[in-house]
Amino acid sequence: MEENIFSTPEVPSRLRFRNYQLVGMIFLFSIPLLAMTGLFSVKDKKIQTTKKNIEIKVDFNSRIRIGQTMKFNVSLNNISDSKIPSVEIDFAEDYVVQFEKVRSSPEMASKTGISLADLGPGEMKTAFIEMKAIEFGNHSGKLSVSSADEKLFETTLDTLILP
Amino acid sequence: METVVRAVIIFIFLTFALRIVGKRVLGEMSGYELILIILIPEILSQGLVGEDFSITNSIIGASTLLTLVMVNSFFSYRFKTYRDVLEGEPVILYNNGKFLTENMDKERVNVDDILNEIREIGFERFSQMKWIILESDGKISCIPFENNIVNPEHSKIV
Repeated sequence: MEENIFSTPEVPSRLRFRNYQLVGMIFLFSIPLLAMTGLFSVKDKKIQTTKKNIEIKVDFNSRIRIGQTMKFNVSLNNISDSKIPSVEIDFAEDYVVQFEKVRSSPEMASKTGISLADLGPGEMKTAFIEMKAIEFGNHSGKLSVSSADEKLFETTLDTLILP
Repeated sequence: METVVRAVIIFIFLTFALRIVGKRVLGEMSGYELILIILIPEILSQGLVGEDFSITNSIIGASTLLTLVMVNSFFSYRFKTYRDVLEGEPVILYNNGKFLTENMDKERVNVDDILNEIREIGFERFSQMKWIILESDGKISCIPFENNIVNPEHSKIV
C-alpha cells in the first residue's frame, strides 16, 4: 500500500491572539479603514458670504498632505449697481509661509496679497492661487478682502497639513 | 482611499504573480533575487504611492499591505483549501528509487538541483534517499532511509 507522507492529523484550529497583538492589529487595520473614509485625504472647504454690495466665495483645502498643491480661489461678485474700486485680497503672513507659491492669477502684488482691478456692477472676478504645502501642522491665519482701505470681509483660514 | 485601492491591487497582483512563477523560484532566490527583492519593489513603489511621497501616504500604503498580509495569514491558518490554493502543496520529486519526472517538469527542478540538496545534507547518492520533496516554500527536503542504509534495489541509481 502506498504510503501517504502528506497526511496530517486532524488538529482543530482557531485564531487566538495575545493582548498586544490584538491592540496592534486594531491599530494597523484601522489605518486603511480610516483612509477609506477619507480621513487622511484632501478636504475642501467653502466659505460663502455676502457683505455690503459684494458676494464673496472662498474655496480652499482645510486638510492637505505635505508636498501637495492647494488650489485657492477667491471669487468676488459685485451685486450692486455701482462700481467697487480696486479690491485687495490679503493673507496673514503666518499662514502663507507654510506654503510655497506655485502660481497665481493675477500675479500676487506682494508676498501676501493680490490686487484685483475695479469690479463693475454685476461683474465677477476670481483670484486663483496654487500653493504647495511645505510645513506640516495645523495652520491658521486671517484672509481679508478690502476695497479703498475699507475692510469688506475677514475670515480665518484653517488648514491641517499632514506630514 | 486611492492609496488603499492601489495597495490592494498590488497585493493581489503580487500574490498571484509569485504563485504562478512557482515555488522553486522563490526557494532558490539567488538568481532571481535581483528581480524579486530589488526590481519589483522599485517598479511597484511608484504605483503604490503615486505622486504623493508624504509620510501619511507611505503609512497608509504600508499598513494596507500589512493588513492584507495578516488577513491572508488568518485565512491561510484557518482554511486548508485557501492555504493550498495560495501557497501550493508539497510535491514529491523522488519516491523510493523512482524519479517523478512529471512533477519535476512541472516544477522545473532538475536532477542536478536535487543532487545538490542531497550533498548539502551530507549524502552522496540518490539511492540513499527514500523521499525527495519540493516543499511549498520552494525548499527541497531529502529524507534518507532509516540508519542511512542504501536500498540495494536502487543501487543502480547514482
